[in-house]
Amino acid sequence: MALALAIFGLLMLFVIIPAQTEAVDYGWLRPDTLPVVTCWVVTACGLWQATLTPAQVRPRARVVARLLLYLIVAFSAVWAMTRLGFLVLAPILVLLLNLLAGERRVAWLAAQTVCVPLVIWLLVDVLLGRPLP
Amino acid sequence: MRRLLTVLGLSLFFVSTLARAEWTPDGPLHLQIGFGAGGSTDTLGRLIASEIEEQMGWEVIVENKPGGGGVAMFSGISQAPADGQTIGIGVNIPILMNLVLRGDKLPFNADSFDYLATVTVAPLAIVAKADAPYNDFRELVAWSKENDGALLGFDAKPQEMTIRAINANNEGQFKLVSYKSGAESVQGVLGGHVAAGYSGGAHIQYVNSGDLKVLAVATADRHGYSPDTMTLREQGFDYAVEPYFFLAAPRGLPDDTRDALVAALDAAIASDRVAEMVVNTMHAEPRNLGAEGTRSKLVEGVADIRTLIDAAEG
Amino acid sequence: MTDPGTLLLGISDAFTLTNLLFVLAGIVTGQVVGAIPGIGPVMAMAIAIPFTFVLNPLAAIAFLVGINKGGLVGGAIPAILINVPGTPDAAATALDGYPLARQGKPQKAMKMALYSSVTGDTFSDVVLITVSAPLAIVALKMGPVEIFALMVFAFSIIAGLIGSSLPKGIAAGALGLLCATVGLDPEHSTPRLIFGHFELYDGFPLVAVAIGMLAVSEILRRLAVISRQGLPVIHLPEEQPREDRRVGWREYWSCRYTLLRGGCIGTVLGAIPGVGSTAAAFISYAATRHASREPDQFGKGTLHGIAATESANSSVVGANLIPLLTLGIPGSVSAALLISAFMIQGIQPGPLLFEEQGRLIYGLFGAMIMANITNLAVGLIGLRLWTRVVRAPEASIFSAALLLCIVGVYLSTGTLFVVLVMFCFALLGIVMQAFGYSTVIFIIAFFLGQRFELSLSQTLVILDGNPAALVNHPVALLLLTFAFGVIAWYGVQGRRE
Repeated sequence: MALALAIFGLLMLFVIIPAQTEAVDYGWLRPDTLPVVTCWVVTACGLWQATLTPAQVRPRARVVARLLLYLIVAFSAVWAMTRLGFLVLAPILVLLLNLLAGERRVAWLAAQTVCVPLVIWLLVDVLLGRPLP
Repeated sequence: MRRLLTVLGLSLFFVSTLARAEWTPDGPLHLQIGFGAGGSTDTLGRLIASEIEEQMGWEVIVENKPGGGGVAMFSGISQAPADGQTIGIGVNIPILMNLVLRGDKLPFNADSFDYLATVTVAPLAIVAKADAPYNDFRELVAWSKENDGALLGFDAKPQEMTIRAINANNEGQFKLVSYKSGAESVQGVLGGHVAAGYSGGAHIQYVNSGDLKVLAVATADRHGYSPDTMTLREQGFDYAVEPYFFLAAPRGLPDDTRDALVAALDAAIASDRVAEMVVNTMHAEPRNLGAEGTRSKLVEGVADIRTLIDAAEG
Repeated sequence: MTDPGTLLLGISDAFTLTNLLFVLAGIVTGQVVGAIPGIGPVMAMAIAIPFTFVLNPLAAIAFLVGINKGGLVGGAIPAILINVPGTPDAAATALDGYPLARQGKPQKAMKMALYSSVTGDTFSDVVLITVSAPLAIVALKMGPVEIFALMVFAFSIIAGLIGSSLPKGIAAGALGLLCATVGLDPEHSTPRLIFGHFELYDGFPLVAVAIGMLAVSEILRRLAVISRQGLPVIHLPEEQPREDRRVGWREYWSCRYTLLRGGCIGTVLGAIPGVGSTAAAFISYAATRHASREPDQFGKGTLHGIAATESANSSVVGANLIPLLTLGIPGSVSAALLISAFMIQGIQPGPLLFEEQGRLIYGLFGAMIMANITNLAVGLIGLRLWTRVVRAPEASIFSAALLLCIVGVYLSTGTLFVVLVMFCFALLGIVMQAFGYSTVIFIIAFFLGQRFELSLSQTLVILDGNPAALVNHPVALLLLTFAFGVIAWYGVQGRRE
């Protein structure tokens, strides 16, 4: 992780910041001043950390896998929402999350899948007149 | 509540003003605001929306689409279907600046829209403390030379360009201090942190209370609250910046649709409530240039900004 | 000052049944939306403003102020109960509130949060009502150089939260600053690091970063570790000694200095635009731990931790009104919304407000006092309710909360792109936590970053890049000395440990 941080810092410094900032030839604080300074700090801290005894991080594989799974599910649900809309995706998301979390009682699942998105939709879209995706 | 108002509006509409315009939106009209909630554009947009709902009986949904001073919102508008269901309200200056400085990266140009109306122009001016040793901008330029530089607060790019042009061509010695808003720039002037500063309306109550004086009007025409103050142009600096609040729709609206929208907006902008807000809180007058006027403001604005940038680069 | 007649007239305007109802409605709305992760008082205010068109000015403003105040109380509730802050400013409250709840004393934690919140709020309201005019003059004298120095001072206090690993702490802060530089740069307004997304011109939206890092990352983590179906989020013991459910006067009184410190920090930072209540809460937390005789107790459920954060974040609200009412400058998004509500009523906040609208302003002060009392009452009833809600199974609570975060961020920014940004920050938060990089430092650096860079730019222009010119700014010099003093003190303390 420490080395990854240092590499990220160098990548930002030499590739991304030059490409993603505009050069300005006057004034005190140039657009890239603070990003460059922070990236040097990040790089330095990454290298410094790498010289220390590595931290004992032993993430449990199962938890990490599940975390990633949830993240992917949520992320793709939102992405799909840009095409299909809230009313289609929200119930699917709630259902999936509950199933993944081990909820198996059918009535409870059904109630949530219907009610949670419906209540949000009623409140936001119908009552307050604010558009949902 | 809003439903109730809509229904009320609708019934009024049918009873009194039968068929003001033939076209009506097929479903709700989406009015997008190029800024976040809170602030002049947001407030104006919401007032106009509620006026349209009341006067026309249309359902208007207001959406905030902040980002880049309206660039994000107008990018979306330029891609939206030209059916009159989606219109946007923003300020011309950030749009013009981005068109000129990085037009190649934008998904739209000045011709990508059907322009509908302007609401008002912000009373941009350069102000200083009432007891400052200079009374107009010419004196401030001279003062900056004598004192080896003067600090000047600004909050938008064209203002910076104007002052840099004056530094380059009129021997001003200004050092520019960037502020987040006109109100903060005024605070800098009041606190004595800068010699003078730009303001788009926040200064007026201080001018009235005698704490500030106006050195120059930065728009093209003089302002009502200080009729004797000359514009920058009149003082011999050929630069003017006019921040207009304007509304536009995707290009290619059918004629009847455009006419109906223009008429609806004109009525809303002329309403007492909008006028009251513009006069009382923005210290300006409602000014609707109409569809053609708005269009030429934007299209000519691009050329003006380009000239300004050339002058600034010296 | 205005004559006492106007004052009395104004205050008596406030205490009508109609206004009480609007304040009550505002407080209830605020507490509910505050307690729901993803949506918060800012959004509720934005949604409510069009509805205030038809109200009279006092009722409209009182309603909105009620939402704002209620939201600060509400935000602490999920922070304490499920470690997911309902609003970003309650994130610091979770540091000690959640551990206390885990010890089976959620009611005690929530009551302490409520009392501290109302105390801090009342403190800053009293400051606002009594000395806002002189304070505004002091605020005017605080120029960019002084604000820059104050930022440095704030960062030095925050350094106390770095924890065991110095490089990790510094790296987290630098990353936060880096993320804050995304968007238009403060001096030349050129876009930076936006990768072609115009939505990022104004920087990463605060809500997306705060909700992603503070709420969504915790929600996902909790979902991932759910072990059995149908388990409630928090275990509430059936039988509990009375002391564990309430906060006694002696306990409250023992926190008096903490509360006062929080109130002062919140009031000072609230009077300066752009610092915000989240940073205030963390700064107060760090300062309290710094001053405490038992710093090890922090993070394990000490009442002082809760008192420090809640008093600070709530006192920001009253203090935000100081620049708003006297100068017309909004100190935060919710203050900008209040200005908008004033404008819709045809009133411009600013120097002439007290002269032209004295009666309304004193009415508003009356309404604020009324709101604080209402907040306390509603809060006491509300927390019984919330302890019921968290008896629902974990999976249900967290999946609903996740959906609400999505909806909330979408509603406040109007695009799903920002929702995806929110998930990216959730991932970043999870990774940082897993490897021991402080997300707290990251968030504060991010929140202060834009203001920091702006005031740095202003300072460089004003001083002409010459540090020696600082002698003309004694206040700034003093603050910078303090900052170095604090850092040195941390250094000495660190070595001793």
